[in-house]
Amino acid sequence: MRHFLLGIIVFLIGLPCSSVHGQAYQRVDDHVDDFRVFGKNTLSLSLFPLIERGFELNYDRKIVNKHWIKISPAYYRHQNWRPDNLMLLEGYSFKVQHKYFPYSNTKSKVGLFLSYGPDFQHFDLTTPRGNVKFNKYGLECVIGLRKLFYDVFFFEVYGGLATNYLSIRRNEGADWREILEKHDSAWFQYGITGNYLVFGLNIGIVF
Amino acid sequence: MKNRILYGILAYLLLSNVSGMAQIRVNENIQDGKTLIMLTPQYLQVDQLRIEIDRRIADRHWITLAPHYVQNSQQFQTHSGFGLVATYKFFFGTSSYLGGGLQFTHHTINNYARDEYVNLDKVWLYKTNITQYGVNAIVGRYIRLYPHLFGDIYGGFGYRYSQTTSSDGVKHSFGRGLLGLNYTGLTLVLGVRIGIML
Repeated sequence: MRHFLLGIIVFLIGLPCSSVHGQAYQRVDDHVDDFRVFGKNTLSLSLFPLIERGFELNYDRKIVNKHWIKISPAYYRHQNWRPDNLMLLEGYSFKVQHKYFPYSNTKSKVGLFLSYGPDFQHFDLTTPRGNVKFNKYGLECVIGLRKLFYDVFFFEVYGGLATNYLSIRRNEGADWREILEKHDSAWFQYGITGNYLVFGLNIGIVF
Repeated sequence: MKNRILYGILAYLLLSNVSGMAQIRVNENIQDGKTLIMLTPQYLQVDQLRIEIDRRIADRHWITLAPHYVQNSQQFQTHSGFGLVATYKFFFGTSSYLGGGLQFTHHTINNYARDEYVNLDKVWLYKTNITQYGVNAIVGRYIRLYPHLFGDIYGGFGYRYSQTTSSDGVKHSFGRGLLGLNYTGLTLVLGVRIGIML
């Protein structure tokens, strides 16, 4: 009888220990790898291109569980009347990316993603020194975080590496390098070419 | 009998704990994954775009493949190149490793000058091809920054051997010291990477 009681006590002590761990695991399991939290479609606006008067929209569509496709058209129009930087720029760009979420947490509503894909940009820049029309063909690979709030809104921050190849379509007046020199120093400027760092901040809605 | 009961208690508690720990361990360290995509922003300093793929081939044994591509166009010089670094890593802890690797890089550099009389026309001066071979020995550690997000810090030393051929027959130097494109000799290997576990 004594042994039986002792056995019961051991069982009762052991039970919470195992169940606590079981619950902890259960909690983790419930919150991790549930990819329904971000809906099926998202629409967002990129904030950094606005610095250079670029209006970039991102449409993300879930294909299967962790895999999304992102399509980002952008339109640029920048007119500057300052005498030291008189210019008119018009352009557009188009980006397609595969986005993969290896981790998402339904409790904190945060998702971690890897996104990569090609992009195409076309610009027409006119300054008093001349006019240059150019295309850029690029690739981008970024790592980012998506955070959902109020179940409808979200923001994304990301950073990564990018490369692009510049192709001059037409060059009138001064050499295209001289025309572009004021617009190729920072990663968010439309004249940048070669290999460079890329960062982004998007805000949008889930539907 | 008392001993039996005590052993029983210990075994029961231990088993319940071990099973719990095993369940919680998901994505806690690098050995829980199989593939990582790592970004190396520091190489942009030398115009190099490098994305590295880490793959676990067996328990504690990993391979890192780092293809890279160089592109830089300046007014009087264009520079393009490509290469590959392959590194084998052995983990002596859950996150710390020893690694050994081989690397190959090829660069092509075209130099121009401007003809002042014709104004915009560029005059071709010379073309240089640089092929560099190297070996590396490193020690490093992965750090978990967030579930599925890892950083990697490593350091060590290596040896570089460069072959340079120029169309004008002169051996030009491109960059100084250890970061020079056609450097030959012992070198330091230091790096930071950030990446995502797939």
